[in-house]
Amino acid sequence: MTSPAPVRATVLATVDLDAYRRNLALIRDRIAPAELMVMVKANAYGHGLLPVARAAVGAGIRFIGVLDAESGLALREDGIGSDVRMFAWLFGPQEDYRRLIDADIDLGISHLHQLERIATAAVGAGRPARLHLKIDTGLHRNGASIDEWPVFVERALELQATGLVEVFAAWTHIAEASDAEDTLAIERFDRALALAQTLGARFSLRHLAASAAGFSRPDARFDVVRVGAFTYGIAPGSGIGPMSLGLEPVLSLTAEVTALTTANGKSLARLAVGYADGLPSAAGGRCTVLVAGVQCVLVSVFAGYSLIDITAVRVAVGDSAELFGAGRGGGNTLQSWADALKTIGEELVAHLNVRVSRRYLDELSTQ
Amino acid sequence: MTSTVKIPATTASERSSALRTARIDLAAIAANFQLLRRQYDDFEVDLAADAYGHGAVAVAEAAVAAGAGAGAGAGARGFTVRDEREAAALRAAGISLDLTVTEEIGSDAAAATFGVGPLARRLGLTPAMRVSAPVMSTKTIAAGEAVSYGYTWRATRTSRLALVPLGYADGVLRAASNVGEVWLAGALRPIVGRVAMDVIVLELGDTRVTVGDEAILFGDRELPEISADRWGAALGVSALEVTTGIGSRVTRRWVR
Ligand SMILES: Cc1ncc(COP(=O)(O)O)c(C=O)c1O
Repeated sequence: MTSPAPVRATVLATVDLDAYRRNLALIRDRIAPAELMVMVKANAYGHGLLPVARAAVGAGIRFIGVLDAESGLALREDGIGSDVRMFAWLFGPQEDYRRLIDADIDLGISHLHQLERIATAAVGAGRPARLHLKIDTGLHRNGASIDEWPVFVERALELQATGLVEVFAAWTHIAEASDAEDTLAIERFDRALALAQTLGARFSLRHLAASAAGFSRPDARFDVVRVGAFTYGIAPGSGIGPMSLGLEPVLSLTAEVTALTTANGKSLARLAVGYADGLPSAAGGRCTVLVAGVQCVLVSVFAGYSLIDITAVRVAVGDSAELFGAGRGGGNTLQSWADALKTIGEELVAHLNVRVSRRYLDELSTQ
Repeated sequence: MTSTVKIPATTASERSSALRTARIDLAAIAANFQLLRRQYDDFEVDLAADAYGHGAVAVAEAAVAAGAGAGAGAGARGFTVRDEREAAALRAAGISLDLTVTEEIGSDAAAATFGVGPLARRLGLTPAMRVSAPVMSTKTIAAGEAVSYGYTWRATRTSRLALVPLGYADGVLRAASNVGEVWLAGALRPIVGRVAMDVIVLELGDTRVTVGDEAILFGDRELPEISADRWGAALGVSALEVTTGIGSRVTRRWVR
């Protein structure tokens, strides 16, 4: 299924689906017996929704986290069937829940007003809406507060008794501020589960952790771990790189040298990548790129191109420069770029413009 | 009068019931273009990078309707694009004006077409992109409680919060964590805690806000204090980089 190389893609994101599958295998092994839910929100963290989701399903993944209705519906339309649970949890105030129930998409919800709208949408749907009730254990984004939780659960159970909804799972999301803070969040989750139990809830699934806590803490795993970053080989940073966890970076970004120039006595080359492609201008003066095996300073990033310092290397027009990638041959990883920009790798890949050509390496499907 | 332009070949995200919206004011672009063309006879609209997030085809059509390519000789300028792919997309949409293909894109004059950047401010041009999203939920937290990843912000008193579905995947730079401000219910509200991939949290003070109220990131004509220029300046990036970075999940709504 290797896609044909696009015509004159002077800037190219290469997505290694084999590396992605190896990451999935490693993570599954690590978190077993908990199940892996792969997160494909934000166009699969910039890697491309459909190719990534297909690769995951091909590898036997049975839970996909899609965030919003559109991504979930796109995957159902692509033919991913009901044997794969699709989990969405960000809904607009005017969300059309009926199409989600019809598409058999699991709903992660936090509020009574959502429950009521979903119950109304489920009338006549022919199947109950499958719900994952969210409790806020300290992150304070969404999730029912600890005070709201009993009323929320009771109302969900009432609606379950009418057949309109199925109270399927309970979940939360944690801050990863420190081990101690995460422990507190796990305790709050346990208490919320126990309380719901006394109210009559029988959850089939419980999920709390994302990449970092899921990887390192057995007590955070519960039944399912929702992993995004680590599946793409993106590590938390602050000294923890993907390789130290056995993960492989999945996306590499390359750009062609389009011209050679000089300025202020420096030899410079132009690269066909700019902020028009989603490369942050802040990378100018902070990051390096690999050309002809040598690290060159990225001097500045403009809208349509970038300049690199090639004083120390012979470069020709048409050469390919690697901005970040697998870290082989002296090249950078996304991690080193993120560190240099005082951010996280997720931001750099999620920010890559959709118009940047993606090329998929996929040995498994080619065989 | 306001009417929505039908743009064919919508992606899945464009079909959404608009969780996040970038409203593109084509009348403002047309008026900016006409003023710029009077000032500079060689003025050419720069449509690179999907017209810096404004939609190259919609902008091209608006510019043609406003007189781009009309007249003879030096006055009959076409459009600037960055590469053959962008040129082909415009040709496929029926744009027949001359196209200049160059990497030298994104000048100050290019930004002015969209009503952003120093030249636009000097000439009093109107910003064309307005980015907004509805409040998804509100909550009250106690003093000492924290918000978002890493708990980088802690409430010093009982605080009301609003969750807004715009995150760094939508172009709200992570650098705006605990720095940026977003307009909601009549005032600028600070982003508290880290900007996440999909959401931000705003602190509301004592103001009452309800689910569905609109939070405006930048670009409202009535609110010059929340321009893309200002938003970018707080984060050290140009307004054109800001509009270009508004992600594909943000539904474009073109209005004339
Ligand atoms: C609710 C939820 N679960 C899991 C994840 C995955 O997090 P990570 O990419 O750190 O694995 C996210 C993404 O931020 C999320 O919002």
